[in-house]
Amino acid sequence: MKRITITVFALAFTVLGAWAQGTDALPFTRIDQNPVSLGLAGAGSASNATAAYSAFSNASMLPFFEGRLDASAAFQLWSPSAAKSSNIAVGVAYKFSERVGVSLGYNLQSGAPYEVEDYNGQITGTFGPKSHVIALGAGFGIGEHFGIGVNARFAAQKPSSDLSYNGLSADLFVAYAVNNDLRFTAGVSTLGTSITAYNKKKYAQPASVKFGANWGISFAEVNRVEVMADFDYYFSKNVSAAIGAQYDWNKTAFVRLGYRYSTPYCVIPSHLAIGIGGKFHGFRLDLSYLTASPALGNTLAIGLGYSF
Amino acid sequence: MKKSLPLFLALALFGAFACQREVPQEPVQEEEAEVLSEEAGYEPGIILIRFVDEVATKSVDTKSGLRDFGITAMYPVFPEEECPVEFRERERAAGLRDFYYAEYDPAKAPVTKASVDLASLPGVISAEPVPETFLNDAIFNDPGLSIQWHYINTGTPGADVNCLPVWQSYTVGNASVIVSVVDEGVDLKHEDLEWNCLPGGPDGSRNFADGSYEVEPMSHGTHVAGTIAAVNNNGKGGGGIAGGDYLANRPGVKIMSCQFFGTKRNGSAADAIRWGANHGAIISQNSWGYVADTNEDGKISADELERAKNMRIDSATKAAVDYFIKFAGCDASGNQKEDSPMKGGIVIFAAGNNSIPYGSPANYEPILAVGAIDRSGHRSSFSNYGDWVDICAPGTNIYSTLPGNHYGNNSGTSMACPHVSGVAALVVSYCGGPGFTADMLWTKLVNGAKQGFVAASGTPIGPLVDAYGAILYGDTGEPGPITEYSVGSQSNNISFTWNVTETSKGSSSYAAMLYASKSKSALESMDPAHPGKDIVKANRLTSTFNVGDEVTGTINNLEFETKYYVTLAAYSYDNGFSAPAPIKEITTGANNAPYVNVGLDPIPTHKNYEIWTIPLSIGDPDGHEVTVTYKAGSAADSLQPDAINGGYMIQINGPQAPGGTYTGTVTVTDQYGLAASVSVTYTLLPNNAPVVVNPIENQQFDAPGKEKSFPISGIFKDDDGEPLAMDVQVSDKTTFHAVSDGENLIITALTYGVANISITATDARGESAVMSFGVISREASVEVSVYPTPVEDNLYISTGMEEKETSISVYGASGALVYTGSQTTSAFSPAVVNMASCAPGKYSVVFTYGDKKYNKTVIKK
Repeated sequence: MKRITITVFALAFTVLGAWAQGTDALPFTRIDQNPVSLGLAGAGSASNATAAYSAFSNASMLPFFEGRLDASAAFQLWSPSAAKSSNIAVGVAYKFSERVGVSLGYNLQSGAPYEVEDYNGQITGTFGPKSHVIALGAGFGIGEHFGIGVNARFAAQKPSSDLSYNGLSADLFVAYAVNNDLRFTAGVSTLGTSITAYNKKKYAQPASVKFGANWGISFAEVNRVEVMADFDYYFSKNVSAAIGAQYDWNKTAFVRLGYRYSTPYCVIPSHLAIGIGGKFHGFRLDLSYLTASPALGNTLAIGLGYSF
Repeated sequence: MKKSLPLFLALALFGAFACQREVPQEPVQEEEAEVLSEEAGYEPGIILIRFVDEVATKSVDTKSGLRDFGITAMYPVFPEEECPVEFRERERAAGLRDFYYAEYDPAKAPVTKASVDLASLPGVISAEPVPETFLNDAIFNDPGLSIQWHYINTGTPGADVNCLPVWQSYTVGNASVIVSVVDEGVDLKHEDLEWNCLPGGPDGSRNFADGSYEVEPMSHGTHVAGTIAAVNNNGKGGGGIAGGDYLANRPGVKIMSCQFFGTKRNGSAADAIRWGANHGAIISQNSWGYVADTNEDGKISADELERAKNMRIDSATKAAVDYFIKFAGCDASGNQKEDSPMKGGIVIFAAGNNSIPYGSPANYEPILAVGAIDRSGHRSSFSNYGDWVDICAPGTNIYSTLPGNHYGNNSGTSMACPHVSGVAALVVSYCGGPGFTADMLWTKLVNGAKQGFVAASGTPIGPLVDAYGAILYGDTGEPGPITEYSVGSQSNNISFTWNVTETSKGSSSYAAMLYASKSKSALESMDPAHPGKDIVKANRLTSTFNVGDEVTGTINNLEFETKYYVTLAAYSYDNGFSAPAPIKEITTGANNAPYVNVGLDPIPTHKNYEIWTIPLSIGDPDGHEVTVTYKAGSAADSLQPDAINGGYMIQINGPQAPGGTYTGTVTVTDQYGLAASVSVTYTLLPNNAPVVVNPIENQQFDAPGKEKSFPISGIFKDDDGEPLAMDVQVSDKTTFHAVSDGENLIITALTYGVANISITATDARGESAVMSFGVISREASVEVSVYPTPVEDNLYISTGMEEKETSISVYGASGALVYTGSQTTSAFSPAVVNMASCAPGKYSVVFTYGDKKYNKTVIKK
């Protein structure tokens, strides 16, 4: 009776807003857990600077990683003005040889507890939603210039006490290094299973075709600038492109700046990113901050890593 | 002796103590109260209401909001189901359907005030308190007398023992008459019996069950004794046929309890009968007999019937009965004792309750056997019958005394029998004396009874006992002839005036028969008892007048302007006529037209909602019957009988017609076709519909159970000033409860949620105004509400009480925008976001309301 009443009321104020054509399932899988690339607005799929989070993104860059081991842990306060989640990610990558590397990553996202309200608007309880991602990556070098990589990912979310959804997805990438200063990569990301809603309707994960490029130039021995660009064409017909630049002083201090443009309903919206980092004796500390976005503004990430 | 207790006692106890529908209040003792209250003389808790005909036909619950007035029950004064079908239309036209008795808790208001309040309700023509009633004619103040139909039956006139005229003019009983009650013990200390009871002792009552003088108060015997001699006019219980008059200090007949039924064992009935004969009783009352249903299965089998047919009085009881009949009231020599009112005795038995044509000992020829009738004058279903039943009396639902100063109803020939014993005692009280014999008493009882009153139809139970007939039988004396009289005429009616003559016994003549004929010779040769078809006659009762009182009688409906010859003759109860009076001549007059006058001049203009009346004065100068017809001027006016003032009135039910001027016509026609008519013009003002003047704003409740109250009077206005009927509706009765108590609208939140409340005010003409407002119940700490979570399709965003423009954005877990828009929202008109196409997962709803920004998490299923 009340629902009918409310519907009657609602008809007087029919929704005239704009809608996404459909939304992606398990969208949190596309959140960049790497605080380095986060400071570049997510550009850097063709970067070989870090490998610890390659299981989440692009394992084809593993053969081009200069170290043998890279491990990192990061914490994010993601989208505090909208999605409001705190994320923890850990990742590790290991190269068995010059041409073969594997990576493993885990990500836990904890949403802010919310109040459960029934149809009468009465609060019946609270719940804290959670999401998990486990990712595996393997990269193989082919010759001196080529590399291929594959990632497998399992994502699960429990948004309420009586609901849970999960899915599998995979990434497949190829990389081509012209030289140490210029690299390209391309592939498909987050190809995976769909999830089913209560009404039996299926929703796909945010898969995309991705292209990336990375160009660096060093000068005065200790200074290096790298420029990265990424482009995603999502199967949801959204487009997202990011460009970032990193200044590296003596491979010790890093300053990063990036901008991502996305179509209005893209899984990762447009934003501006800045980041800083420091590296000393293999240990690495990175900070990133996102702004210029109604949803992602004030996102903060911090990561601590070690590589050799 | 044969045991017969269970049968009669079973029936005596049958019917139990019927709920008294109405027990008249204790009458006001004027000599005791200095000032009577306003309520004095009215039945508390009952109001007589007359409704407008259209309202009367509705159910009680919809009658003018009577439930809200505290009325707990309503029932019609003239139940339609009691009316033969062919008479229902005329009853309806006579307005009988409009009358109801309404009951309410008298503690809440005096009946006079309640009547005034009820009279103001729409649809109510009148409301008046109900006067207390008891039988004026009975001259007794016993509260139970009004339900003792067996003494005075107003429902079926004649179906009673007709003791009223005996009480009024002859006797109420005499202490010289002793009735022995051979039965269970009588409660000799009962408040309504003791004055007329002989205490236990050597010359009085006795217990034959245990051989003592301690009579046990028992139900059957006490009930029987009460019918005979319950004390009259003592303000307690009911009356007794020969119970005397307490206020006049005239004791009734004496009850001698001869108990032979005991609680542990029975004594000898024969011995009990004999005791009465030897100790002054001249009437032996026996409401018992031999068992016919020997196996006590409630049915009479063929064997039992055959046995009953052959059953005869046992020899000891027969001897005792014979002894009583021969020697009661006599000395040792067999002569009537000086202080005994009768020589010899009469033994009266109940006929039995098996509805069979046999009964013993009642069928012993010298015994006066008594059958039973019910209130409608028919044989009681249980009464035995047959030619051996000598007389009958009321026996169903008889109200009388019970042990311990109690009272109640019983049924059975056991109850009929003491009626005959009581009448016998009454007759002996008046007629008894030297030379009065038991045979004379028997003759008076049986021959003075109403012959043929109870239809035999194969189950005869004899004539109906008639106390007055018994008194008068064979003893009325010849009526004195009327020698002088005057005669006059009014139209076709001839009136006679004369003085009541004296009978040869010194009493007033019972009645006079009036005669009129166009033939003098017909009158001269007529037999007054059988006057012939050329003579018109009418009678006039005169027994209640004193000798010499002037009385008037009339012969009506003669021919107009015709010469008649008239005479009259007095006659007695048993149709003995005096010689006719001298014949006179008179000419009837012409027919005069009836008249009808309007009782209001000028007729005032009324508002449309009012229900009012225009009194009429209708009559015929000749006293002829008239019929009244009415041609209505509109749907609002109709002719109604005036139950309060008599006559007729025009009732204007204003709401039935729009404003305007209307004319109705009343026509009165006498029985001979002469008519008169009058036109009645009245004006109704146009109706003004009610309007809303002070609407109620949307309301918020911060918890279930919270209540708010709003005065209704200020919400609506009606320029006619008429009371409005309020109807309150709630769109969601599970969330809110709203009710009007007539003055306030009371709203209670039952749970959290939103609803719409509407109040409709309707005037008598059916025009209405509606006021609606929203109500919301939610926790006080909740400023906004986004629900439900999880959501399947529509997501509702309910904000504050004030309607404001609200910008809304919905983001996915990754921060992706899935919806953006703007809606006007409030607590009563929440925004609706259809999320049916969204993938399952966590979303954030970011919206602004006023200057505050909110971020709420929702889950999509």
